[in-house]
Amino acid sequence: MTTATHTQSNASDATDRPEGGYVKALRGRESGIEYPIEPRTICDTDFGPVEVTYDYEAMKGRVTRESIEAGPRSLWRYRDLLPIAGEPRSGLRSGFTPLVRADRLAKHLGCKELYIKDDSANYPSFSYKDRVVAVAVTKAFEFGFDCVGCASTGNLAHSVAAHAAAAGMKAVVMVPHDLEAGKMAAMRVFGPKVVRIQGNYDDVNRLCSQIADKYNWAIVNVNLRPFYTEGAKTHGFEIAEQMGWRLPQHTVSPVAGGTILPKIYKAYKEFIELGLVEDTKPAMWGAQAQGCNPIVTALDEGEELFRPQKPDTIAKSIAIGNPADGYYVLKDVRESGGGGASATDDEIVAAMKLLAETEGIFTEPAGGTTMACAIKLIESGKIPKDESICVCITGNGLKTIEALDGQFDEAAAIPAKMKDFNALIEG
Amino acid sequence: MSTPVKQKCWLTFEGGCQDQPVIWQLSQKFPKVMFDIRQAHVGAKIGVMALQFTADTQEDIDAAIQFLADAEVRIDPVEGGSMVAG
Repeated sequence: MTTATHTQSNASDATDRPEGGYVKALRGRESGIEYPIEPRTICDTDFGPVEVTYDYEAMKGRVTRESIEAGPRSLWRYRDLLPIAGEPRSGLRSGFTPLVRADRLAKHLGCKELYIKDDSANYPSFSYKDRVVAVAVTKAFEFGFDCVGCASTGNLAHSVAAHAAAAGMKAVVMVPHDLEAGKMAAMRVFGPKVVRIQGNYDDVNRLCSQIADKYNWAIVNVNLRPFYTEGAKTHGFEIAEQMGWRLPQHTVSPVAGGTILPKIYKAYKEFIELGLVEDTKPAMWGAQAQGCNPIVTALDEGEELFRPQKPDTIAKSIAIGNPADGYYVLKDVRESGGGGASATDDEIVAAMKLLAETEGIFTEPAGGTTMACAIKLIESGKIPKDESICVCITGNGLKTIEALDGQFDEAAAIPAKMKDFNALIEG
Repeated sequence: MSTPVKQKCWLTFEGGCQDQPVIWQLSQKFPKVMFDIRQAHVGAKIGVMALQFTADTQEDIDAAIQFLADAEVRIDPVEGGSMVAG
């Protein structure tokens, strides 16, 4: 076994970063054509996505375990690997969420080493979206926008509204008309302009593409998408650092628009490139609800491309039938030697309850989906029980309590008398 | 002379239309609408293609897009919600 190499250095090296950071350019993922750092989503030549590139050579010896550990207890401890030029302007308390060693759940499943990366505790809006929005809002400031917006299944709108309020920016959020009541209230309290669109998320997203063209708004997951998605890497950076600077052998991530799984994988590869962790060939596993599983279907069928679906699931926050980055999920899952699974609504709810009962973590149906799929992958032997496993929980159950409707008997109500209490407990 | 109108789209072919010569039909039926193929992927059950339309008027492009939609081709704006792009 080789040992991960990393350069010893002082924490003060963090101040040694070049002016403007280590970002090099935007580059077409398929064409390789480079563009300056600007609000841009696609390559003009092939219309494929563009991605931020960095000068990793310049980082070597300067971006170290020590420099990262000396950073703030937030996602900004990884700022050298994020596409900002100046100081962070948003999300100063976002990220650095718990990585829970889930021994009780592991015992239940017969696993040796199981972790829960718990973004249900993310700040300020209790989902992983606070990572991507922190980066996007900072970038919106740098580009001179005064209004941020998004197409959302709920969690992103909640996060955009909260971050915009804290940053003093205007916010316009567009959501499907049938969003859960909890999510609607949670976002409206921050005062954004909320537009409910009569359609599903894919309809909302199509409209937002046209809105971004017409209005001078920073639609975080449209015209700021290359920067926004980079924030998702911090979920992966934290897993590696919190595991003691090593990678889990298996990472199970939800797949909705296709942002987080490829970015966790990119985070692992960047840490390997910088010598911060050993390359232990981490396998990536995608989790989807059975009522919206275009990526898992393509994996099962061995197809290079996926077919869009009409979502029908209680896991509304991952009900995206036409994932923007789905192609890259398929590519990365296959390259890493992983795979996928999907879960029924009943399995999703059962997994939410199991996670709550064994580890005290209350996740939303998206997290229930990831957990249910992890259970299936473990029980089927696709993920070996004696290897390290990390399950990515990306949202909080308090926002979607209607998912548990009808799950529990009515709790007993008794007179405030000791004899009645005794009768209930002992009878 | 007016400035030509341009529109970028992703086309998705599935459910049988991927086996039809829809693009050739488009070229025959709308000779005033130019289209420029930027990338394409074809699988067993689905095909996707990035196109840029150019015409004198938006109405010409809209008519071409409607023809594709009638042929059960899904059309998405390029800047988001696309299958291959992000």
